[in-house]
Amino acid sequence: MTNNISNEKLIHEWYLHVAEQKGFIGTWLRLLRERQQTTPEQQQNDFGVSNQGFIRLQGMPLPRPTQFTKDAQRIAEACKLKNPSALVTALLLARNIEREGSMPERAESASQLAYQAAYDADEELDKPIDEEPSA
Amino acid sequence: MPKNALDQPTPEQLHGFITGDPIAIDEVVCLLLPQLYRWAIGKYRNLPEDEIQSVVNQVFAETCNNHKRYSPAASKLTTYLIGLIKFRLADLYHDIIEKDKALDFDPDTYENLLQVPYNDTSSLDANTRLARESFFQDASILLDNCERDFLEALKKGEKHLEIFTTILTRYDRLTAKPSHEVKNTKERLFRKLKIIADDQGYSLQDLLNG
Repeated sequence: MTNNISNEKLIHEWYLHVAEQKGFIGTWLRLLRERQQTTPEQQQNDFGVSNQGFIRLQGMPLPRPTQFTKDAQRIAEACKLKNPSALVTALLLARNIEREGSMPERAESASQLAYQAAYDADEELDKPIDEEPSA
Repeated sequence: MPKNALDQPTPEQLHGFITGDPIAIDEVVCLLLPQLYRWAIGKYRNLPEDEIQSVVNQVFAETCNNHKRYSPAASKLTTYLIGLIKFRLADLYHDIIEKDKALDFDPDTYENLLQVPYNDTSSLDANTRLARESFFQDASILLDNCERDFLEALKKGEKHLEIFTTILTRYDRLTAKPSHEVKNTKERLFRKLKIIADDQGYSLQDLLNG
């Protein structure tokens, strides 16, 4: 074997690489930080995890939608978080933010409909309503 | 390393992998990524190691995200991954060749130009001196430590292989073929310098030539 880079370093670099990739926890935690105006250090403290554990956590794949909470809990255990429930809550919040972000068209169309309903341009509405013919 | 000598995931890990279990995926990556990185480094010695590592990481990331595409019945996971890595490395090789052609890349010419006494700037006009200073400042930021030491040695007119292998050893980058690794590092260095010069709107040849 000619290359001296250790397995630990390769895996460390892998975690750093995928922490910025879609489908991995790092991107969701970043999304949450942006929304909550928090820092990675605050997030790390909330989870109660070491520096190394936090890097690994960010490089873990996202939980499966079908067993989201269970997977999040297992990830927390695998990364040795002292406060696993903080991760579960954080990932649930991040999932909601991500859903909002991934449906901009639907959100835009809903707000457009609301706008139109509030300012309906139907000219007929401005006309006095004809009295019903008396019987 | 022959493909069949690679350690394989257990059936449980594989089952977890294809069903998207994050813990199983992490275990499989930790088992296979170092092995396939070393396989690729050994197989593609003409490609820069950092770029091979980037390709391997990217292939693994895509496979993790698209775990359903892999079928254990069709092939071993290592065979599947190696197939993807081979395709990407062939693309990388092609890109490097094309880039070198497009940049009129000639490491030997640049090496000779660098060895023109760099400190003798008396004959240069002020603009060229400023451009050079700015260029080497940017270079010192963007190059890694090993490449920076290579650049310093080249600027001093160093030609001895031993000096460059000592630098590689210092940064734990020495391989079984030191001359090959020295050549690769020089080429990577000049490729980066060329890109920095292009970004600044100068020709590397002009900057080195004064």
